[in-house]
Amino acid sequence: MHPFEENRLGWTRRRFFSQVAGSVGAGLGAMALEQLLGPGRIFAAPSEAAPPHFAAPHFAPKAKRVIYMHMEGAPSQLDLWDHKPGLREHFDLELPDSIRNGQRLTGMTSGQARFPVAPSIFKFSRYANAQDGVWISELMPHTASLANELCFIHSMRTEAINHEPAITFFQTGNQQPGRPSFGAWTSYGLGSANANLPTFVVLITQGFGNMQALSARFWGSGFLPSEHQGCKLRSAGDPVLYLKDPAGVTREDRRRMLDLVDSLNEREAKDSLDPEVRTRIAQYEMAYRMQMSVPELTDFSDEDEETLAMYGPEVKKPGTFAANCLLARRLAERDVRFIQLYMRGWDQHGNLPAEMRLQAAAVDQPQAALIKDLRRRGLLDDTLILWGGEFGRTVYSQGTLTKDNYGRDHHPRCFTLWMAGGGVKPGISYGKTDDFSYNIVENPVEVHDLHATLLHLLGFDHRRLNYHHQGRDYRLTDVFGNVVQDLIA
Amino acid sequence: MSAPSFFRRQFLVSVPMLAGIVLSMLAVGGASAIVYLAYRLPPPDRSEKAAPPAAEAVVASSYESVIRPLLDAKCTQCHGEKKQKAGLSLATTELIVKGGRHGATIDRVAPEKSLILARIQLALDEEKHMPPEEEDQLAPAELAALQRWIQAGAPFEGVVEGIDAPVSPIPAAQSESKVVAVAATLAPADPKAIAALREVLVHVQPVSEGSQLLWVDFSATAKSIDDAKAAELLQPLREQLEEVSLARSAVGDASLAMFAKFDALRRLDVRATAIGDAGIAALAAHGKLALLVLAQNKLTDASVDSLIAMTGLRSVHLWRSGISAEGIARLRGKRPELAVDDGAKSASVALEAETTISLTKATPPQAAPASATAAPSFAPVNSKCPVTGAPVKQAYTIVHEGKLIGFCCPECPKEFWADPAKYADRLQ
Repeated sequence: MHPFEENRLGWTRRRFFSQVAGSVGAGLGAMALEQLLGPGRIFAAPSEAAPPHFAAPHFAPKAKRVIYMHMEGAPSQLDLWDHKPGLREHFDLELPDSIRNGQRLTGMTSGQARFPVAPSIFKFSRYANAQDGVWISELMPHTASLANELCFIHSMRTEAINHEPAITFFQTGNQQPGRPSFGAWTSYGLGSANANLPTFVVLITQGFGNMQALSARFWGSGFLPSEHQGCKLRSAGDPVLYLKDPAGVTREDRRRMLDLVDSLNEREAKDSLDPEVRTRIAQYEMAYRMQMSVPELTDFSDEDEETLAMYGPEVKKPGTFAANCLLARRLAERDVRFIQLYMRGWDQHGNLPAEMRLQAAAVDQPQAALIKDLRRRGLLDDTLILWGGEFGRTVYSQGTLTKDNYGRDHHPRCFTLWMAGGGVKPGISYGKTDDFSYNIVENPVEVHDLHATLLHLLGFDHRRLNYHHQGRDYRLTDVFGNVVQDLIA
Repeated sequence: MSAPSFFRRQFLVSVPMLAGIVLSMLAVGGASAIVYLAYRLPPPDRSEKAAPPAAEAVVASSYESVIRPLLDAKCTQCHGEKKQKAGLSLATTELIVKGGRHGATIDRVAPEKSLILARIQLALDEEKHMPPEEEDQLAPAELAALQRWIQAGAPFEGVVEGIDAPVSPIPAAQSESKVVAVAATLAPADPKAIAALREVLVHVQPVSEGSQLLWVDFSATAKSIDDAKAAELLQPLREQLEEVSLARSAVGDASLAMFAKFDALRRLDVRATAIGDAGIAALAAHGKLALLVLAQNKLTDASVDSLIAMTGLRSVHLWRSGISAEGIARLRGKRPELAVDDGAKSASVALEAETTISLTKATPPQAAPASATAAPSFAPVNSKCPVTGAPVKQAYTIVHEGKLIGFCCPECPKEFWADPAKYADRLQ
């Protein structure tokens, strides 16, 4: 084998001696192995020979699974969560230079002659929580009714100013593509708790407004073994392509075919030592089991009327946020580790009030129902819920500002997201922005800090959840990240 | 990382490799072959060494009681009397000080940079990582003890604070949990019992790294699990089970009676199963169970007394459990500290709500100090709405050109702003 290939496959001297088939050292390795395992073990079938292998968290976790509702396109914090009533007296006034401070803008508004302040036209109410209440927009009444369970971070910030790098940053901890996603890291660290379903499932809802590309690499596994990548469940037709066997192929035929393919792959795995072959075998087996488990998962006929009503009128329409929230609960019930919901269409550069109403109405009731439904089933305590976009929106209007219409550009310097459930401190707001919701004035939270905190809740020291690749150890938080203890119950 | 590669290696060993054993003996010559073999032999049974020493009148030194057994268990197989790989032996105190070919074992100037600590803390797949990847690794607590001992100057006499008892292989990070105390003396789970669970796709994992306590989750095959199957699979793990998720399975009262005797069990999820009051009554004897999920079951208020009797219980989920509102009220009354979830958590109320919004273009801040804007009267300049002519309501006002203008409803200001000049003559 070419030395480069050996290196790529991570060979070491020890592994060489213990593994190389037919070579001199190999025999010794095998003999030593037999000593380790006890006589006869190396002849045993793989499943018998496998010692108890555990993926386990570093310390007792607060949460066992994650439901991450990513609002793709980045919803305006100003119109949903970050109440700035003082702005109403600044309508159409120029954003003060002392606030903007020369910070970069996107190419979409950097050429604007004016940066007129656009106060939110939505009314806010102050809802009781564990502190002195939290102001929430009229667009989210159902979610607001859960204020005493939500943990708001008003001081998120990110590096990226455009969707693709910003989402990539949130999902993988790096703006450049190629790293494993958060869900893949979770799968790698925790392992699957349900062998019949993928560890990481992605559900997508089409929005009403401007929709940005949603690349499959947002749920990719990067350099981690590909069994950790997210599995997207489709909303139309079969949830997974080719879920049903073709006409004339029985389940027994399928089994025999898989057994044959597995034996060929097994041979290839031994020859090439490529871990991806092993992954492939595992994935074929998973697909075979999913032929049974997925139809059962996506069939809502065992849900009672009261539950369906809770999620709202759209719950029976596949692919809606309501249907996906219910599906998320069913996945959580089946102990799928990482469930990611994407709601597209939050990119309101113009016509924000009208579009925002539609978007918010689509998510508000279902997401509140999801939290309530998890709670009463005893699942909220160990399910970590995260809701947010990839950045915020500007206080100044993009395009024409009128009393009832405006748009907002991308704003990475401050925005709001919220968490709930597994180990999160309920009913609090963390961090503050200035009166223009333009800069953070208290307790900034970086994306790496968020990741470190979420991993902590899942039982990991983010500095120790590593994967060796191309000669160095990688981790989700790269060389950054601080656990924000104030967010932890 | 060691476990997956270990796993993979076993797949990869095949018959031709075994044939190689004989060949290798002939081809390479026995000497080096035997050396390598010995190097890879499993360490001797060290259960005696791991056991705590009998209580003695004289307190043994930290070195004798903790460090020496640790070195014997993890190091001296290769760095001891029989073999001195890299010229290093850790068999005696003198030899520990002397070090090996690569230098002193312990750096007395910068203890944290000591070679022995550096090698142990290298990444597992590094060639120079010690003990070798395939061998038993130091538990976090063991490494911590070694670090503390070296930090204290690696004394061979006397007791270093905090290292006076053999170190348990349990991570120190979980010391908050009482369960750890149990875990310290706990035998590892029977591999056969774990293999049996995996055979039927049941998930099993330690509650955390290095712990012997287990979480078992039946979600993949819940529907096929009844009392008999649960007993068959879980009885062998009775000492190790800390958490069991049997939600949506077919288990009933017999399983609950079985769990009553599982001493380490702290969290049990039997949501939507076939359990009944008799099972809860049997489980009442379990004084340490902390979390119980009983939602979606057919219990009656007869279970309330059993729940009240569970002294260790901290949280119970009773949504659609069959227990009535009165029963839940009684439970809450008797056990006020217990978190009882009946699925009807009250909504967060609005403490105050904005009823109106007025968007105004205030005069630039520098021209309007707070005192100047606060002083004027809040009465609108007009009494009739400029848009509709209806009477003005105090709630709907805007500021336009320094004047407070009233409207009849929240819709009219929008009309007004569309073309303020049009209404100029109606502002009386």
